[in-house]
Amino acid sequence: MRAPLVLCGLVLLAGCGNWSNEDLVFLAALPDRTQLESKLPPSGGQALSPEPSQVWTFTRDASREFNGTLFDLLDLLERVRTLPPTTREPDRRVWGPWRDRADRRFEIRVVIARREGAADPAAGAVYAYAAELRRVDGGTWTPVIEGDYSVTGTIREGVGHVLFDVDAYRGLGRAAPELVTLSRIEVSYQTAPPPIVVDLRVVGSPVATFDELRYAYLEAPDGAGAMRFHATSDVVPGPGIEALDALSAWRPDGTGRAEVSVTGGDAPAAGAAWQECWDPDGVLTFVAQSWGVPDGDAAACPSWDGLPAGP
Amino acid sequence: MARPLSRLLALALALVWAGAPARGETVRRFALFAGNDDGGAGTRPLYYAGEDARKMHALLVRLGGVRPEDARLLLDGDAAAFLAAFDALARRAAEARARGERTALLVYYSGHAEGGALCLGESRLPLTALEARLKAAPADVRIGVVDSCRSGLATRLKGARRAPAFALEDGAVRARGTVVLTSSSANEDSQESDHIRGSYFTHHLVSGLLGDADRSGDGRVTLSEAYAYAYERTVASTASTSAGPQHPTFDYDLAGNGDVVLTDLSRGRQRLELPASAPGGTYFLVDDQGRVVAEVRKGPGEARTVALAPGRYRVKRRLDDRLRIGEVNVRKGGATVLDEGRLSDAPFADDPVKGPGREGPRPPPAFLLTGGVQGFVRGADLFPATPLVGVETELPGVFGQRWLLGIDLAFGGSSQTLAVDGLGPLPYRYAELGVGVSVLHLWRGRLLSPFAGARVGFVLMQRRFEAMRGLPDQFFSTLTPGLVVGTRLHLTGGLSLTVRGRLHYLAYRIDEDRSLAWTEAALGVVYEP
Repeated sequence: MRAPLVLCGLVLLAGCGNWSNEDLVFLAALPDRTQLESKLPPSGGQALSPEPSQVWTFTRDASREFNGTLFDLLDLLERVRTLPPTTREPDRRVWGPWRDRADRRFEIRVVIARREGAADPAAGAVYAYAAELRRVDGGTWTPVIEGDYSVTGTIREGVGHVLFDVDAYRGLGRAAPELVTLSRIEVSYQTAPPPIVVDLRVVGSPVATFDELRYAYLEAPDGAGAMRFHATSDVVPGPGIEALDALSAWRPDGTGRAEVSVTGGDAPAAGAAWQECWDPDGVLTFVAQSWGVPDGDAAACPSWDGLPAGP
Repeated sequence: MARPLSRLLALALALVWAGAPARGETVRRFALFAGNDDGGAGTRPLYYAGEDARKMHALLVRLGGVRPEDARLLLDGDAAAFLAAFDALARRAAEARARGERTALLVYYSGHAEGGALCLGESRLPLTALEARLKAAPADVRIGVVDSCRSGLATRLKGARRAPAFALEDGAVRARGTVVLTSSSANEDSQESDHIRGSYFTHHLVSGLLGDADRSGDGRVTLSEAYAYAYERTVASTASTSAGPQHPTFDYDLAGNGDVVLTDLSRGRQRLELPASAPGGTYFLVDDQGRVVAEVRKGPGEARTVALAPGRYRVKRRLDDRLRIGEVNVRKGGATVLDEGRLSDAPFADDPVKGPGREGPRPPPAFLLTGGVQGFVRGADLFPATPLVGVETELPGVFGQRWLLGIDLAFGGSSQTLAVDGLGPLPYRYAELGVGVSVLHLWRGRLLSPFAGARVGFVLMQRRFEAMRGLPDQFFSTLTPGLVVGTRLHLTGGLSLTVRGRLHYLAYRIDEDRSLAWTEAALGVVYEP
């Protein structure tokens, strides 16, 4: 009876804590969703006519898809912010392994390793991280999410990449119906020097209706922004595969314009294009379609020169 | 012609020399001392009835001429055990009487009494039955001493008297008969005192038998002297108690003349003398167990003698605004004279009449309100300096009269900036909560009362990075042992100011092993009701 009491006393005396200061440095190397998410101006486009702006609606939907995919990707990495590392080494932190609640056949671990800037000794540290799975009954650790981050200033200033290898994830025998159309998700981002740029590339699986989706987001320090969307998919009825490109850009005050084009495949030879412009209140000022009559005042559209160039 | 006479004289002298008992002692004494704290259902347990019986037993064996084999101490026995012990002693007395010895049988009881019966646990022994047995006992002198509530029932039917000094002449000890002393009248409670750790009546009876009742100064304390003394002191001691004054009673049925000697101070070959030059007043003599073994009332210019057992005693004399306390060592086989010059003034809080066992009402706890600053001597890179406010309570007397048990709670916080390589300056909010237990020794003075001791605390610290999302809150908690020093400055009434310093150890064991140390300086206000 005495020994356990003494042991408890020693444990209490030794202190209980969660995060060390150095742990925080490793955590800060992980991408934070608030840094990378698409932030659209608060007001949406309003139709000259009672119909809402379709391009703006498209942009908004694309932004939501972009953020949703980004957040899902970062969700697993976000979990390590809730638990202190299991193992601490001078330049390495490991969380886990834990049993995967979604599939008890697997264990999960997250590893963050740090090395000084190899290419440029004057640069900041480089952090490489990975979320790995392995079978409980034996197997090697397979990374399903990998990333790296190069610090260019303070810990929140740098360039990073994140890859979610959906094929490798399925290859482990994991059931993931919501991911059946996906093969890879890649994110590249830059938080410094400004502007913030985030590039999301989704590669479709053989059963997907698209080959590739790309979302790119740019945020300037003054609040101006732009979003570019590209998809290679069969958007026009017919045997061909078209390329869909959309670019939206806006000033800090909300004034903006957007262009959508469909080319190749079964699209008209000259392609199909659609333009919209809106004012600071989000009211449409100009609409032009390659197959129709322009509506509104083209002079009211902000020049592309005054807008972010787009990611 | 002178030779036969001289041989006869020598023979008589030899007989006297060989057979002479101690001075004045021609009686074979038998005594039963019974004490029972448990009075059975419907009664509240007493605290000192057993202790009273022990005192009387030890005293009368040492000074009362009762041989150890003729004394029986019965603690927590029931009525059957009591009567069995009584009968056994009565048989021994009968045997001694048959051999031609004068005999005396004393029965002492301390405990509950209810409805005219002694309450020995769940069993009952009617006082009338006890009295009848006592009177029928085969001893020349039979003495009953009953220290219990409403014990005066035992003497009421005989017209018990309260007033002391039943006039028995000194002289040849040839009294025969029965005497019953009770601690209170038939409708009064007999009271215990936490202060003296015993019942009032037995305490004063013992003090008297130790010598303070020897008004004649002949070194012997007789029954009448002891009763007169116990009566007066018991009435005085209980006059202001919540239960009201307590009046001992006596009943005697003695034939012949001569008082009964209960204690002979010469039997105890060591004694404490309070010289005539010592100031008058009431002296308490306390043994090393904190028990008051004697209470001696000494008049100015009057000398008193107390036949204490050898050992160390603390002496206390209470004045209006302070105590005079000191220590004496009663040497075996000799007389120790109390030296007033070796007593020193002390505040009432230093009353030596305290010790292990049940105490009277302890002084109430003190309350403190403090404010201070905590800083890390080692580990300032990990934890910031923090202002703290706290509340505390101090319990006096838990470990002794000069010791305090402190329980404290404090909290604090600040806004700081964390500088960690690779993170850049990070603003954060820091909060800390601490609880602790201290054991402090307090040296009470008139103006300043320094203290020192040890403390064990538990501290919980939090750091929150509100300006940088994605960084979790840091928590750290640990036990932290330390030392405390300080002093109080007495203001007025129960208010004091306190200045305190702490030095603590803290083990940091998150990503590296470090031994840290922090200090705290605090000011506070103390209120002692």
